[in-house]
Amino acid sequence: MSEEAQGMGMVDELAGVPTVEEIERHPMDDLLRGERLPHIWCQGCGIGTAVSCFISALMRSGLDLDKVAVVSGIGCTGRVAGYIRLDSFHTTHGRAIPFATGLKLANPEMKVVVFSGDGDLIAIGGNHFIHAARRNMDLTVICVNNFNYGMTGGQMGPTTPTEARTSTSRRGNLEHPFNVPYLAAAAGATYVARWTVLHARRLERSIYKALLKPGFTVVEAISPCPTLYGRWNRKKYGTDMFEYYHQQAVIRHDAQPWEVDIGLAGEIVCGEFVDVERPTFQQMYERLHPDVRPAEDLGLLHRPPTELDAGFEPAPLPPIDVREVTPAQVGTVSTAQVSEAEHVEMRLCGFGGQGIVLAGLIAGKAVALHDHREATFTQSYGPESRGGACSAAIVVSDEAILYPYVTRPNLIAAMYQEAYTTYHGQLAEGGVLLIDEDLVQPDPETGQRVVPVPATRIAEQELGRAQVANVVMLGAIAAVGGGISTEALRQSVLESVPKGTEELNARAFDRGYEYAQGVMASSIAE
Amino acid sequence: MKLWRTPLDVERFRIPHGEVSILVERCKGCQLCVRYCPRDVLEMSDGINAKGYHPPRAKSPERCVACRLCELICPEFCIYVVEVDRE
Repeated sequence: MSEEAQGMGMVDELAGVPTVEEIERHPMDDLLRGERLPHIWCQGCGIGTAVSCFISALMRSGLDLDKVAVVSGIGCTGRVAGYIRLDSFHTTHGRAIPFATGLKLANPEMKVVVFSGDGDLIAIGGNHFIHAARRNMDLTVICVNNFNYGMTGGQMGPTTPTEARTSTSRRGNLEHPFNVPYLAAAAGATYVARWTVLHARRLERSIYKALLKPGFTVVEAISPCPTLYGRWNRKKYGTDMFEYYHQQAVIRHDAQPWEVDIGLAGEIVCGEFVDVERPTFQQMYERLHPDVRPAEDLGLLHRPPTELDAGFEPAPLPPIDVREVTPAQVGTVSTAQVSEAEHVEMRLCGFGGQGIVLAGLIAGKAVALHDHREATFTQSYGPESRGGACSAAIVVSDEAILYPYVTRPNLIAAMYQEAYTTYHGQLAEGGVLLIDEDLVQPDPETGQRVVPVPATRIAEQELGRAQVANVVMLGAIAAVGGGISTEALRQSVLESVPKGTEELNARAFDRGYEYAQGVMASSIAE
Repeated sequence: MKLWRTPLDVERFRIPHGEVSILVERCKGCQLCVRYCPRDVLEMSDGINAKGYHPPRAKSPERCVACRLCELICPEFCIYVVEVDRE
């Protein structure tokens, strides 16, 4: 092991970096649901920056925070409402603006902010968007535009630039995208601005202005989606996309909205394009219906309890049916080597982005296509592309498999602490637990057989690519056994990885195999 | 700070100083703070947090002028600056 690798340790060993306990809270934590952080957005995603700018603008605006509500639709940006510690609502897809309209009309004193993505506001919610702008509803809309449907796998949408490649336009998008500022301005918005998230200060100032201006105010925040849109268009990291904004964004406040189309590689015109006065829906309502009082004055919103309410109690929830699993169902497992068993269950778990699901698929293919045995493969993951809990489960058997899910795995490969905590209790008697030793701290009291493999560290420092950590782990699985022959697994790895990376992945596999064998040999010697 | 020519009213201005704090467990290692810090205060560290990302660390904290760009640009709410008196 190199000196550098030895010097790498857990967080509390970081020289000069204070740990969470030592320091106070982030100044924005008052307006964030801290218990839900870190959030689900990928590394390099700009939605978090847009939220920072919004919170900063809101704190500066002096608005009464008890009278501010945030409404989001569906999608990555749709999660914003769930992270902001204000009255917030996560609506159905595309319906953020209709919900916000109702909220505002029933509570005219509230400031209602719609914070959602391009797919939600401009695609499925496009009609609501233009009609709310036409009515000049008193809403502030912050539209985070990342040019594609991020949460569902990077499909093209109505804001994808022409010729941009996405997962559903692999030769390039043949359609023309919506120009969001032009759409908003033409439909009647009173304030329209566009910034990239790199223009953090200007974006913050625009949101501040939009919050305080009456009428339908729109701020478009261009944000990177490195995981999907960026990966398809040669800007794989958040920093690549920020660099692109740095080079191509120009500020032109006097630009006409119809001139600010966004192309695949051309300039991105930013600025405040529209700032006009028009009577809002609320003002027109009050002028034409001076006799109608708000619902609150009539006592309709806060109805006093009646005798009908008294006897009402929610029905108790039915008890959860816990399925008892006995080791007898699992089949026989030798205590020495997992690979001798006729029926083996294994679970690979970690967080999204580590390649857990791909590793599971490779293992399943190895069994079914190369070992010619029976296999099932099931996967579970959250809506996020990166960072969420993620698990792949494989059942290997000589006979037809009647139940495809894993209940008592003989082998668990855990690459994240939370995954370990969730699943290690399921390990069958005599099973083996493979862990990424830098990311998982095993519980010594369980007495389980643990094989520590620093897969991420090996991938990053010895092989130069953190992405192959999953293949290092597969190598380790081959060494432990797991009911899959080493040749089959190696063959399956080489067939499943992208062209041109076979050699790197073969080295990763062999290194993982060799490392795990070394660990097991030394543990037997002890 | 090195000045090309000393302005006549230089005494009237005070360069603020900031202290950077990093909540390492929230970091996802996107490097935006390191790349866009105008005073080049931060660098990526070798250590890892619980999810295996490399958080940044302040390599030259004395250079920070509390502009708070890192605080605003960080997508993870994990870095913030407190303005302190140098004296």
